[in-house]
Amino acid sequence: MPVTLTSLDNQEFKVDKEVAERSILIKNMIEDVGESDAPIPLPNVSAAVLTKVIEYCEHHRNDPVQVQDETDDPRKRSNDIEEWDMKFMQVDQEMLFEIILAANYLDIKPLLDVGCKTVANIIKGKTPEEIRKAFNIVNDFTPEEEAQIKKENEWAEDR
Amino acid sequence: MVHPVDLPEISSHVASYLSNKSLLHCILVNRAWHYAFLPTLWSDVHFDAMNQQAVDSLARHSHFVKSLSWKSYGSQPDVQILSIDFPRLLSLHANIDKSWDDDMIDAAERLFRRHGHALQTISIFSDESGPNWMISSRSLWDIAATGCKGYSQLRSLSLDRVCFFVQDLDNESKELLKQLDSFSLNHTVLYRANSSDPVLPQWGLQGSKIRQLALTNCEHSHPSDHLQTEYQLLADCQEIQSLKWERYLRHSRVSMATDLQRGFWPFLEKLDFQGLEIGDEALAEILWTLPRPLRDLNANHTGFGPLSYRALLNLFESGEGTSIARGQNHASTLERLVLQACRGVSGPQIQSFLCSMPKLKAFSAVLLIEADVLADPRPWVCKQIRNLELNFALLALDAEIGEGYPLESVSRDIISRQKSTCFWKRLKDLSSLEEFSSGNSQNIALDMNDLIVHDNGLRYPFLLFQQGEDHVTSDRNCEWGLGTLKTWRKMRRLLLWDSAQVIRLSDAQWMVQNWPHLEEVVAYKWRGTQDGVKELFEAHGVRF
Repeated sequence: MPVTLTSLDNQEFKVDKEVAERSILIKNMIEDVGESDAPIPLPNVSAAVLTKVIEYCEHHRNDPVQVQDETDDPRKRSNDIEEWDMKFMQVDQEMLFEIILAANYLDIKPLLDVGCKTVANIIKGKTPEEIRKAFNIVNDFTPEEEAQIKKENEWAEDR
Repeated sequence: MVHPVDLPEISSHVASYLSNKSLLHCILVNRAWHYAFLPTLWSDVHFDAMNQQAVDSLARHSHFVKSLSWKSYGSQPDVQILSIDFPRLLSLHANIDKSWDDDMIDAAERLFRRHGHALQTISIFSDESGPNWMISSRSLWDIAATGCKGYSQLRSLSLDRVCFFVQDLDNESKELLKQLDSFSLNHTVLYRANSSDPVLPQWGLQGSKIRQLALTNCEHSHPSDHLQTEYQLLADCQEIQSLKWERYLRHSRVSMATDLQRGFWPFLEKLDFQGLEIGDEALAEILWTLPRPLRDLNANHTGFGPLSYRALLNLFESGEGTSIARGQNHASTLERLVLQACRGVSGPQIQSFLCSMPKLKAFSAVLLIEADVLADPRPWVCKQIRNLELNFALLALDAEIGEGYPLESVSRDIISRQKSTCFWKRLKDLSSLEEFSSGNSQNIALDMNDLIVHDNGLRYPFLLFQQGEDHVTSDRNCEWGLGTLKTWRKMRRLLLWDSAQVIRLSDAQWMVQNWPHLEEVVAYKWRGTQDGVKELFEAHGVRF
């Protein structure tokens, strides 16, 4: 049975229940309300972003439930993004952030993971200045503050 | 618009994928990022070089610290660290390479009293260099046990060079040990004070929940106790899934295989016998009698050979080991197989492993020759493999083709190239590979020397780790080469130990273009490396 989702800008999207339920938020809503034809309002998500999110859920509709990967590494890995997801995430930065926020709000854990990994991969290997450039951020530290932070956290330098 | 980094749940999620070095760069970006990433940076602290500055800094950030790991810098800073309050501390790793003095013991006692109830992980490395080592390290264990007693949070305990008196374990300590998940003793003295007492000390850990057990280099006050004291602990720990043991079969008084047949250790699925003097027959016996298929086998420096090979692949031959009725299908479950420095491991065995173990994530062995691959033309099924450590070689053409073969050296190159494509074709399918190591590495040189010398008939095709065809005059080049390996999208570390390996500037460019996650390349610098290669790698954040 299809489910109707309404975006922030009042566009309606008809999707299969199975696809919509990739979002734990929607899944819970459907369970709470019971079977109903009434559209589900998603006032935090714009039509453009919702289109992307639905595209992701369609592609992953048959994925098994995620199991936590056992690794000896305390830090998680960010280089294991699937080819399709990698392409899917090749969007401008504003869209990337919107997708992350939507995934967080809609509670779609695998999409949130992929989004955060993508951001982490942008950060990796960059100097603070390069990070600022990549995300268009203005440095609001004084040189003295910067020196102080470096000194305080010196131990992290070789790790 | 809300910036995702402003939401703590998202910034901590992003942070969980970053190294401390990246996090350090993040907190320097601006104030917002500083506050977003600081908690993660300080949640897992590793201090290798302590000084007053670091101690002060640690004290100021102590409320973030969940895991603390430090290497001793001297009694005074150590006492200061042990005196800091860490309200969120779950995990403590202390590397005290000096003897613990009284002040440190006192401070440690206070720390364990304050935080023992919450600690989930304790690992202590001590050192026997000091005069009071035995007394101080023993009291260290006592106070750690006292601090944690009565609470059930402790799951992982690792003691390295810490004295441990088996016969003195009181009931509360036994309970503490029994509910551990992981118990590891290295260079630990399992002491029996009274040598005239004929009864061996009892662990009394029957019914323990320990799932991972590691006993390495343990010492005993009486050498005759070695085997039985350790084996008794093993027998107490019936729930183990993972065993690392370095003592087995130096004596023959215990038989794991016999006990396995009696139904011991029903959950055992990871074995690490690295460095043991265990022979092929004994290892094979264990493999045949295991209760379930293995996920992990480390048999570095053991006698692993034809018998173990057959046991691992469940290749039963009539007339041999007739008392053994069953074997497990280890090939279908093995995720990690380490067989470096095993004289009994041959190329056909290696080829067979790669062709029959679909879940393999890490594999390490010495040498595969193209003839082994051509003789067994099945494809490699280990498509999920992330970590491969293997040397490849071609049989020398002279030896194989025989005398009087009319071709000039250039034609030989062509044959050599054609033959080596059997490797490239298979390697290209391993698209999950993240770490690849090949060539004559130092740590296996011992066994390599009599196996492979360039003059005695074997050549490495992996000197061909280059792209393109412009070096065809050398029989060490290959038209496939790097260009084939575009599929290695996840490659992070490439280690080429052969001194003749050439990395040209164009190769380096190709690597950084095609392998987006490349972090490190190791190769000999002093030969054949073009100018600018190091600079190019470094400009792309790749260590070289």
